[in-house]
Amino acid sequence: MSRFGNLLMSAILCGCTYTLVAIGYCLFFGVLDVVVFCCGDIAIFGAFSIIGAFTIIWSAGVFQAVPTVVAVLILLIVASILCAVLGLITYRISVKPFEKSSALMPLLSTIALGVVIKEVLGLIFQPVINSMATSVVRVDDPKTVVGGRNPQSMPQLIAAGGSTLTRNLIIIVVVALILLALFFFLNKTKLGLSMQAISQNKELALMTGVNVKSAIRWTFIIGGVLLAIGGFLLGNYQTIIRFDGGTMYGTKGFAAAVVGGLKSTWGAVIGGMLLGFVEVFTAGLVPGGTKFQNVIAFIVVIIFIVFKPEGIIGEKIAEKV
Amino acid sequence: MSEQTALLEVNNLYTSYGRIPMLLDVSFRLREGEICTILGANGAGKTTLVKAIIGMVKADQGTIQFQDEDITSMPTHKRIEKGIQVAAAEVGTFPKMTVEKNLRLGAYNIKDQKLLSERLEEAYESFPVLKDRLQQKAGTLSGGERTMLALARAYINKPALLIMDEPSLGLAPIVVDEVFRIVRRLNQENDMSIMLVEQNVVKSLGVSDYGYIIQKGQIIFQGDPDQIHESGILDNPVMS
Repeated sequence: MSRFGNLLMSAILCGCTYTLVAIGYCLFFGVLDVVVFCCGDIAIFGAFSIIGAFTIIWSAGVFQAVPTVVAVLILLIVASILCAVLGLITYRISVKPFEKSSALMPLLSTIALGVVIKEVLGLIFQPVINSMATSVVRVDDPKTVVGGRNPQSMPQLIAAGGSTLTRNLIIIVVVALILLALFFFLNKTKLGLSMQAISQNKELALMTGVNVKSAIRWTFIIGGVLLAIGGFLLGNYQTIIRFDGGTMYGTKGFAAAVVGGLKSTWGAVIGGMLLGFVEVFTAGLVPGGTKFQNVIAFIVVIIFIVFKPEGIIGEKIAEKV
Repeated sequence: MSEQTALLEVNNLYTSYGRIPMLLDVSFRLREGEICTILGANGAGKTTLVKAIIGMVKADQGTIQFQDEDITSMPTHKRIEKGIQVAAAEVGTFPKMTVEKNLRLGAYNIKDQKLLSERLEEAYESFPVLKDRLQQKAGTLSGGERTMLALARAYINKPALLIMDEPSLGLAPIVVDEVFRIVRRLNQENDMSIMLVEQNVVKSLGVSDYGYIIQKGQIIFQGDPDQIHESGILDNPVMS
């Protein structure tokens, strides 16, 4: 493939991974009007769950026994459930207690929770997975994961042994399908519509008879699942993943969400893609640009904040008098 | 009218925002089939009362009964399901959705699609202003149209109790007349019990069967419209 084609492919992939985490931010901000800052860490937790679950079911011999697609689906389901639970926990301990205080409180508490998730992953991931492999699956010699704070190598689950092109195409198709499903869900199902209703006018949503509490819980479950898939795709794209990768990943996702306009899911897609394109093309086309890809990506964000603070799709928020 | 059973009964209700008391020992009854007005100046606690009835503000003390059932600690969505609807133009619309989608979403508890289409058709007949604007984003509606939308949204649900929070607020006099005509029609043709929360004394007493006057979180007078007019309580500058 030509050099330009390669760059284009990388840009789209990079954009896809940012898009997923940006949508996470959008969903949470939509129903709560609060930025949940640990989205990146939840996604990395999802990737680590995949690695852990893979290690365990590989040690148990289940992975080899079933077709790879089925095995990958099992892994994804496990990670999705774990992330959904983590999403709910996030809501319970770092958002809900601060419902009535200023919006800065949950901001701070979700950042704190992000640090906790990150450090816990770094500290206990290996011992927990290894002991689970030996005790639950009862194998003497488990396929061990890398210790401590080293980068984990992501198992090559998508198109293992095949070409990277196949892998990349699978990632893009998966993201496209998720987006389609999400837009269908948001616009056609009752739960999706109530989430939109809450995002546009919470008080009226309450008066309409929407069960706001349960809709918020579902948002965190759905967000958790999306972030798990995001982490999974990010891991496959980057092939190695670090316990603290969530910070940068989360910040980029947040930047993408802001560029797109925080309440719009389409905006998140455009913002994510824009960020991915800027980053990859800076690294590829500017001599010595790799060092500066993050700098330039964030400069673009700053330009947006200065000149179009409401985002590409977002609408100007008129202050209530 | 007074022999009829009470649809809504609020007994000795106290609420507060933080440490600031908002409602102090408020009691009132609304009988089935009547239009009942709650009059009061800005900040008297009218909207707080509405919010307490549908559960958006917690009752510190006292009870709220609807159709002989204690709903004091029921969550908001359950109360709406029971047949209470609030039309409050002040609360606004879902601005990024079309008028039609606003209405469809407003009929949140109607699961039967056929019934929903029938009710929508009825609503378009009753509120012809909206018919021409179905595909318009609700955020672009004028004040009067927004009030109509709020009314239509509540109307589609055919609630047992319709609470209207300041329907005349910020509207041109001719539109206000229209709104009150609709209020009366909903009551007479659809047998809806209506709780009208208003500042517009003359108009609202004109359509009501009974009225309460609320001041600083307390009910200071109650009676039918003639009694209220005779009492001279409305001559008090605070009330005007």
